[in-house]
Amino acid sequence: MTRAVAPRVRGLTALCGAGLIAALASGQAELAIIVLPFALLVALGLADRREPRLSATIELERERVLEGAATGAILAFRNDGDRDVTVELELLTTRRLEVQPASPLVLRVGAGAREQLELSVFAERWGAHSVGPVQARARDPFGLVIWTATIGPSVSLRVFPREQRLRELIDPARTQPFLGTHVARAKGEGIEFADVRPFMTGDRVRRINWRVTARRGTLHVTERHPEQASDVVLLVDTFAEARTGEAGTLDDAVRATTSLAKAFLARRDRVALVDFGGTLSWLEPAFGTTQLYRVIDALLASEIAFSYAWRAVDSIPRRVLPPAALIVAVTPLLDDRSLALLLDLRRRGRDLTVVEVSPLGHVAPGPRSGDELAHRLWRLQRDALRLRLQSLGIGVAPWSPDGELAPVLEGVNQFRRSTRHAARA
Amino acid sequence: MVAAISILLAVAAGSESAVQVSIALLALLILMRHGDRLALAPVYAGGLLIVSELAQQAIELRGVRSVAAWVVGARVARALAVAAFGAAVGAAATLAVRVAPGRSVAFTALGAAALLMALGAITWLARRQAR
Repeated sequence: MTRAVAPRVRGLTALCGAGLIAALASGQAELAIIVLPFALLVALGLADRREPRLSATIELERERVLEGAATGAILAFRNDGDRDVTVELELLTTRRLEVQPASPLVLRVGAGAREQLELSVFAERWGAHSVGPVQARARDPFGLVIWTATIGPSVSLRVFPREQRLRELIDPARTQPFLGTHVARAKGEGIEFADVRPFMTGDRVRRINWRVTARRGTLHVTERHPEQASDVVLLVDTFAEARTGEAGTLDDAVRATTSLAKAFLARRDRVALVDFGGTLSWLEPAFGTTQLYRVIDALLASEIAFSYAWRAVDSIPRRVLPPAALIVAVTPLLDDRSLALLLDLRRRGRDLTVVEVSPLGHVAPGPRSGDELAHRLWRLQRDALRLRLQSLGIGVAPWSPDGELAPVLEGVNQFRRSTRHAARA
Repeated sequence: MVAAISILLAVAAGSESAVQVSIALLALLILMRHGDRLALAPVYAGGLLIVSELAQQAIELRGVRSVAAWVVGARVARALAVAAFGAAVGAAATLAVRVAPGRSVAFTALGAAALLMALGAITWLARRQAR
């Protein structure tokens, strides 16, 4: 531990010196006698050189919690020294974690003893947080010498984003030949009726439609649509965000992406993740609960990294963007680079949908007279951009974070169906 | 009264140096007022130390959300012990002064040397490393 003399030692020393000098100069012994206890205090306090030997451990009740939930923590101190120590401690945590009781706290640990504190850690925001270490400050018995050190471990606390339950999702245009829940356009083994056709060599006997066969006099079989899975790529735009205080569009984008990932994976689709922004990172497509935790862990590390780099589709490995995948871009549509990516993907014939995380709640018009007009122009510009994307066949779902995501996705589904009908016509 | 108010204001402001200045002021005012200052000096010295320690602890614990039991009590008990010991040493010094023959150059020089040694000792204690 680092030793330092308390600032008041100088003051006490000056007081004692002044008293003694005044006593010598004036010949009045009472001036010296009145400062004598202070001199004794300073001497006794500074004479103690024993360094406190403290160690600390931190244990969390749970290492994973949901946003807005709390978890208990036990902070244990051990004093391996030979005297009692009064320690003032401050638990260091990442931002957006609230600890109760709040720091600083004062604890007294006997020689060779162990003391523990029970704390409650409340997570305001998703992320990969850390609890600890502890900034400890111990004093000698008279408070004249201060020992400081940072002790204890840093324990990881993963706070998962709040999610919305989604019963309706975006229907992909194409499926993959894996078992899933989407009725495929192709014909094969399945439940949904597709067609009846004449029997051909190689058809299975169990597929013979006896009713049609009896009516027509020749063998006919029933064809069905198989249930297949689809590939979904969730593209999170981390180029830019709109932020007010502690809340921003990135926070909402991560929550929306988590909800979408959970819902698609529950539907037995294969989900990939691309964090497209100042830093580029990705997860290859996979199924199941393990992939959900991988996606959430990757999202917890999402942050806006300012960069001038211009990224294109070519920056993303091909194995992360399967050709027939449904790409769901979660973006506030604030950066030209993300817009260029969306247009490029559409030109390449990709099945693309945009969930627009509305920044309007974070951007209020300024106080000056022209600011309201500028704000309206900006909103009109955004509406024009949305129309441009829709004219290219990209479904855009403007979503306000304080609203439900499911109705917005249903609107996109209607748009996609109407676009497909129009294309066939 | 003035010194007492200044101590309270110093504690409210959280200024340790202001506390010490106020203690010095209080000491001066006490010594100026009383007739038999020499006899009462040890008692006043102990009392001033306790006031100083209580004020200091109030400043140190400002903003602290939770204080374990006996933290305050233990420190106050130590301050009382030092104050009592200091008062006892002061009383012995008072007796020595009453018995002493009076001022002289030799005694003054001895006092000055003792003062310098005391300050030197405090400086040395403050600067040496931990064990």
